[in-house]
Amino acid sequence: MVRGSVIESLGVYIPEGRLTTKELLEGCRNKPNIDLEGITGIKERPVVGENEYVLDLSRKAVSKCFEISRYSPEDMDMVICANISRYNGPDYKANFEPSNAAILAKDFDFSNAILFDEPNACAGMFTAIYVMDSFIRAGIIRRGIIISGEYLTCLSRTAQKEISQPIDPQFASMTVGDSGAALILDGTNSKDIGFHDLDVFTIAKHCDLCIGTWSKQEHGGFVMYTDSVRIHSVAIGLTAEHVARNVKGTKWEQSSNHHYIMHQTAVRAIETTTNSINSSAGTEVCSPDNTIVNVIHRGNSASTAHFVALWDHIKNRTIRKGENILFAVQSSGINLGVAKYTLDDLPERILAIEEPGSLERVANAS
Amino acid sequence: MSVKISAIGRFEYNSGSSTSSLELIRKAARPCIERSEYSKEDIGVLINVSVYRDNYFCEPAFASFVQNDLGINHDKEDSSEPKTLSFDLLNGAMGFLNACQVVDAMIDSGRVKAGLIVSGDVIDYEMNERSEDSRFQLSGAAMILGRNGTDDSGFGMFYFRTFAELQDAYESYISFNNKRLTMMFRRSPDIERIYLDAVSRGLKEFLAKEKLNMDDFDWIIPQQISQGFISGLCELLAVDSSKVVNVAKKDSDLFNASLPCALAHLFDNDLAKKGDNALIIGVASGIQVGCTTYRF
Repeated sequence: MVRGSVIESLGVYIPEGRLTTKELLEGCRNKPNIDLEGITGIKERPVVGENEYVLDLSRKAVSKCFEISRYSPEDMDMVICANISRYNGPDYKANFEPSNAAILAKDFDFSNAILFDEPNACAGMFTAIYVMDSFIRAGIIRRGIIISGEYLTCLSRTAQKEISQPIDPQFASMTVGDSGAALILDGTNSKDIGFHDLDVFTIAKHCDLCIGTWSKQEHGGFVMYTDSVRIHSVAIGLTAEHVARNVKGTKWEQSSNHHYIMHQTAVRAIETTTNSINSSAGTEVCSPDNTIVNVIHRGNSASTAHFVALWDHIKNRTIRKGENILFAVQSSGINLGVAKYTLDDLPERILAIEEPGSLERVANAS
Repeated sequence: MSVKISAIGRFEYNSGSSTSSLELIRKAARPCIERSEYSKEDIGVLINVSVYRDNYFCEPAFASFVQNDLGINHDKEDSSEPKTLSFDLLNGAMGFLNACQVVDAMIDSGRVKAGLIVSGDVIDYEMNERSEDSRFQLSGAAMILGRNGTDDSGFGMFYFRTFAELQDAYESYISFNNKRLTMMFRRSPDIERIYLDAVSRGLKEFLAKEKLNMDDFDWIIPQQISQGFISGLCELLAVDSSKVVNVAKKDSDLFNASLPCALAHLFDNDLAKKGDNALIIGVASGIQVGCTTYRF
């Protein structure tokens, strides 16, 4: 039986289109009198191109993931799709069957893999990691791929048509951005790399604080109603308590030992959460130096957010080979989780594909 | 030791009035929990496999509504207390069998003591136009799995195979036309034959891999798609129909409730004796085949 799991490969796809917060607000039928950029810190978000949908985002992320991996699709024993969004065609087409994972089995050779979709709001990819890690630890599979394509700006487009109140339940829909992410989780016997600790759980009494469904208005589309004040208040308090309890007495108590990546909703929410964690822990678990803030140019990309942040900060060389990451998971549901992780040489392998020759140039310069 | 079934709950909806996924699940899950030797606090994972649910919620996972409704560790805010992870597992009619393996793995890895799987597929006709019929038999189903006991009963190895080249034979989706949502089900007219062909190929691989043959089984538990599908399966496998569990309706599909309803039929009627071996065969859109064994 293997000790645990490690992220063997990561592929992220960010669509080329951009939509600024200013443009988004100007497109509202009833322009809200709020400083959305000031409140959230989000300047712009990626948006899908014409005829680009959830499965397209997923396919591009999967292709990138295999470009970086030493494995091929037929080496995957398990395939889990964790996206919330199911927007897969014109006229707001949302597919129910086959599952996204089964559809992707036709594009890639996943025929012999255990496959299913496992949406769990913004905690989807971490829930999938938790499930897949269980299979790996139990010796049922060797490795698998976790995929998410999040086409979320369709929520913003509906919000532009429907927002009517000064404090509107669709404001959170104005913070989202589109992306695709895929990662390969592989078994490892090393105690030095991979997930050291991993948990996710649900406090379901707060299940109604953020709801995603279909608009009942004549124009159609997808909607998300969020009680932003309550969900932030509840999630921040619970996250602070949970993270503080998890790091107590470990090296993760000190911000100098790790990067901190939490769900990316808004700059102010990240700052409030990190302050609350430090206050709960009584030590500096999070500092401006170790806290990854990726929401400014990516928006909230839901289940992919942690991995888009990881990808961007590997590419800008903030996160390097062998370094530690403290992931904090928050989502509607409410789901909470913490993962303590140590990277192998994945950052170098990503840079070797994405920016060939760059590592040699850095080495030579130093 | 294998992971075994602790309790099953099922609820068949026959009223003409509308119902909801949450109601179907509640009516199946409450008696299931009452019958189980595990308490609510023991349930470390709750998996909803309903593909079609109230309001077609995308977020949060429908499982969190179920967890809250059933009061399963739903208010445990202190992370040192017993906790439950709730999520949806969506894979057509294969969801329940997939979820059995997920709970099995989570128990095996020491992460949870017991798991609850629920289904309650409904088409929300308040939200969308009627189109081609879903053909579902509206049913709620619930199953608790755990590892209590010292005998050798329980699930064996699981096997899943996808015949992606047959994918176009079945699809369902919602789209927005003429200012209304429409739920579409597109099936090949030969869908049951296509399922049988896939079962034939998948089952052959499973039996060869596990070094089993059909004579090893006292019971065959197939997907409960229709009476016609089960008759076809008996012919295909050339097995005595008395060994094949048949709780299928004439023209309606038990869908995700197939496996719990068929197993409950064996348990509730004292048909399966201790030591009996069952072959479980699932088939679903994709086209996917899933097989496992269960020792009573």
